[in-house]
Amino acid sequence: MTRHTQATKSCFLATLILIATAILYHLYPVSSVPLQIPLASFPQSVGAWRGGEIPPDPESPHINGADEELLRTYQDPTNRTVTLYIAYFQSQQQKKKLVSYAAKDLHRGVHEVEVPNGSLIPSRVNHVILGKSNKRWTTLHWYDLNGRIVTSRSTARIYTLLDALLRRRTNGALILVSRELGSGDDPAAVRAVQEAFVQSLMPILRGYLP
Amino acid sequence: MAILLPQRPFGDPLRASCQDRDWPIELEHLVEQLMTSSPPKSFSLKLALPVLTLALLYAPVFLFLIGRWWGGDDYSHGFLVPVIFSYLIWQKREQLAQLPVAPSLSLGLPTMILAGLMLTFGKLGSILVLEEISLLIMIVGLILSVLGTSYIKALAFPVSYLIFMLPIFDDVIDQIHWPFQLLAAGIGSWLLQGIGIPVFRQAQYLQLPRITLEVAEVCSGVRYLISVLAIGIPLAYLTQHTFLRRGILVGFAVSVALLANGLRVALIGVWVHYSGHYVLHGPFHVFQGLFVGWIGFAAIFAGMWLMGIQRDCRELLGIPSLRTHARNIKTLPQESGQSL
Repeated sequence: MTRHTQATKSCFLATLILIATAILYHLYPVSSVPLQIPLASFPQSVGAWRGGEIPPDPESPHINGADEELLRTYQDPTNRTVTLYIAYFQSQQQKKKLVSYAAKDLHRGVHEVEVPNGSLIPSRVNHVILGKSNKRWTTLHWYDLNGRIVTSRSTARIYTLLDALLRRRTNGALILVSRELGSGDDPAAVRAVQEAFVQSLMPILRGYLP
Repeated sequence: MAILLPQRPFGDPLRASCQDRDWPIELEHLVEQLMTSSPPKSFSLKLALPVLTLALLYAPVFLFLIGRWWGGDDYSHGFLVPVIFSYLIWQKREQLAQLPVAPSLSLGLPTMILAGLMLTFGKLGSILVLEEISLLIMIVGLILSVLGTSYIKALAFPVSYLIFMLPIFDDVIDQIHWPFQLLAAGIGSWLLQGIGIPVFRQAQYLQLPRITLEVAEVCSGVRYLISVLAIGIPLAYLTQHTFLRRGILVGFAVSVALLANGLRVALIGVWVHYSGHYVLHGPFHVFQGLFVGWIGFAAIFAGMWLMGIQRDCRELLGIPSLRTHARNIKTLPQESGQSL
């Protein structure tokens, strides 16, 4: 075989690989996974906490592009409040992502804390203080990817990829429990309040998220 | 001129013919030349097939890239990258024309398959970085598959340079904002004190008599460094002939751009202090981050000009460059027949 014939053959082989990639790229189906129960029917009572009476602060931490969202403020019998935000993505695409660079602030200066969840092994979630000097929120947040509680962005991406390959789904949720920090608030005490809410929230979430 | 070569029953007819010692030596040279010649036009047409397929396959990625270049200052240099890439290849056209086409399917096809998997996984997992990087790997794989290793060696710089069109530096940049915020605040406060404006610096905050300025993350100047590098590196590659000189030119441009950000902070301080206006970036927003880019680009051209002057002076005075000097010392014993 002459070199030019070999080069021609290699052109066709390269084209074949590109076409095969195009078929895989465009035709590998990923399905949308709706919530088991819509977030609109999320309970107004979470343990001892009651929601819906105090309007939530629209500036409280949230992300954009979710298919379904819930933003609600809950209050306990001693009038302590937390704001719950749930963002659920039925599927993810490039312009509609659960783990995106736009949400990088959620992970800046973050550290993991353990929260009891009713089972023997406590869940690990992220704790971070967001905002600037004039308005700050202490926040607990985590990703829920088909029942997996994930704190790291990289791990969330890997699980999303694995779900896409093995189960043909890229759904997932971000759960944020935040509370505005007042000037006299002790961050540790505020976090304890949030953790108490999360402990009551976890079992209820399982009934809603796939 | 058509050359008729006798077909041999087995093996490569061209090579077999060359081994026939009855043939005149000129014909043997001609055959050898034919075997290692650059691709003819018909081959270029065939090459267009995978290139077009690649362009179609990566159309969604290209569209995203164009949107990103158009959408913000950070990566607006992306429009220039394909143009500079094309120029770098055109500039090597004579060298490329001499290279033999020797497809390396054993290296190229696995590389293309890897890139294809990265592209697909990137889409499935919504990991755009994977899709973007797969574009470069696919280009490398295609060159290896169709043209061979000698081409990839010759095109290493132009292909590597394409990385500047990809917005993949965000995570890296995020890690280095803070030291550059402090550096800009430090330079700014030093300059302000130098011209007699009272200022107290606390980390990234500059407290002036009437206002406190914050060198925020977006003001760190780091984002514009990518643009300075994207323009500076090919210019250094084209105009300087040693790695050291290229490094000095790019390093000079980056250093000047970083210092310029401190100057920008100081100018904002002066503007606010004397004008009493709290439009922080001055009239017409001249003190925005783009200022850093402008100064950086100016530094590149100033550096090229200075290095050109230095080279001209050396040539005028007959002083050899360090490299030439070192080469002369190495070759001296052979040339003069003396030992040192």
